[in-house]
Amino acid sequence: MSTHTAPDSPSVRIVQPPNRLKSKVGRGSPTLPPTVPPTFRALVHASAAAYSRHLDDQLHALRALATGGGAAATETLFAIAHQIRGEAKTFGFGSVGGTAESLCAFIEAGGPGRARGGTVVTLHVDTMAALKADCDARGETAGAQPLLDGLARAVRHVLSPERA
Amino acid sequence: MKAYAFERASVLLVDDSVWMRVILRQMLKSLGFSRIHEAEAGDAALALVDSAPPDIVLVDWDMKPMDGLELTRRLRRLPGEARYVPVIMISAYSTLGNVLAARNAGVNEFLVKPASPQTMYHHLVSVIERPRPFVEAPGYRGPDRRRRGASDDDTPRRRSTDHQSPPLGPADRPLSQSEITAIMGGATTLPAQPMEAGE
Repeated sequence: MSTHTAPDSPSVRIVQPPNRLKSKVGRGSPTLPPTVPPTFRALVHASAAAYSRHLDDQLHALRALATGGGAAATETLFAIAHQIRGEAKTFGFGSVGGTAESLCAFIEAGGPGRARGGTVVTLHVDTMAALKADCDARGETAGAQPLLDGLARAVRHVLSPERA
Repeated sequence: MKAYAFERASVLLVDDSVWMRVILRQMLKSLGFSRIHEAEAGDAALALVDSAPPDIVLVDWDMKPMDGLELTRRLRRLPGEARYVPVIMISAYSTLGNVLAARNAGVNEFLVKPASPQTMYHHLVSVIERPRPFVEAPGYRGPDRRRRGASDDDTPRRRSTDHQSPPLGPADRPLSQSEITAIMGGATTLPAQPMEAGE
């Protein structure tokens, strides 16, 4: 392991640590081996049914929180939407994740405190539930886009009514 | 070209979401990792690092009570070689402010959710083939952020542009993975001939 101090800044130490990871894994291709994506999809598919049930529970919790109001409820609502945003797409619920992303952005912009903000939150939750049902029945489809476009208009209407 | 022997390396996966851990565990398994340790909180992660130092750490940003940034800072202050462990931060928030905060905490790579095997592999190859020197300064401990291949790469000076905001537009705009890679100080594409490791 080599170490030296910076010539113009003696308090700065620069170390070249041993590359433990490289020494263990050796050489490999700079591109992803083609066998990996299908293996990953198969592994995720095996967990998808359990995730679908978990997502149902999260949507029920969101529905209860959407009508609850209050700062604490909004914080919890954001936390759940944030989780859905990060997880849903990987398990085949991309449109649900996209709606959760819109809900997160709406909450971060202070939307729930605006006039008709609660309605837009409920609209997001209803849309997620409808898209989840669609995904369960037919898998991910392109039919979600009009719903997402409509949500975006509702968000604009509440956050920037003068431009909606 | 043969595949990396990922089964020989150990990885520590830190995320408070059980389902994100499921996704990332499956991803790591599909890449060939078999020694996968998991923690759902920063304190548990530090205990695991102490008992069985991993070869790489994957950490979620958004955790409570200790978030991924604080965990990274604590890892960088550990005694011994454990502080050099490569850290890949995973976050759904890819704004300029978040990426700079991760960089300043000592993160090696920044992976945007939803993660895919392709992007995960790209970041793994980066830390394997292009390891950075480690800087220990009064206000910072972590990978050297000077841009790879820059003409001043052999000197300890920062680039003059390091104190300027990159021309990336609004600070709250989500950045693309290539923009993030550039901010983190790396090349946006891998070299045709991977560089030899430091040692």
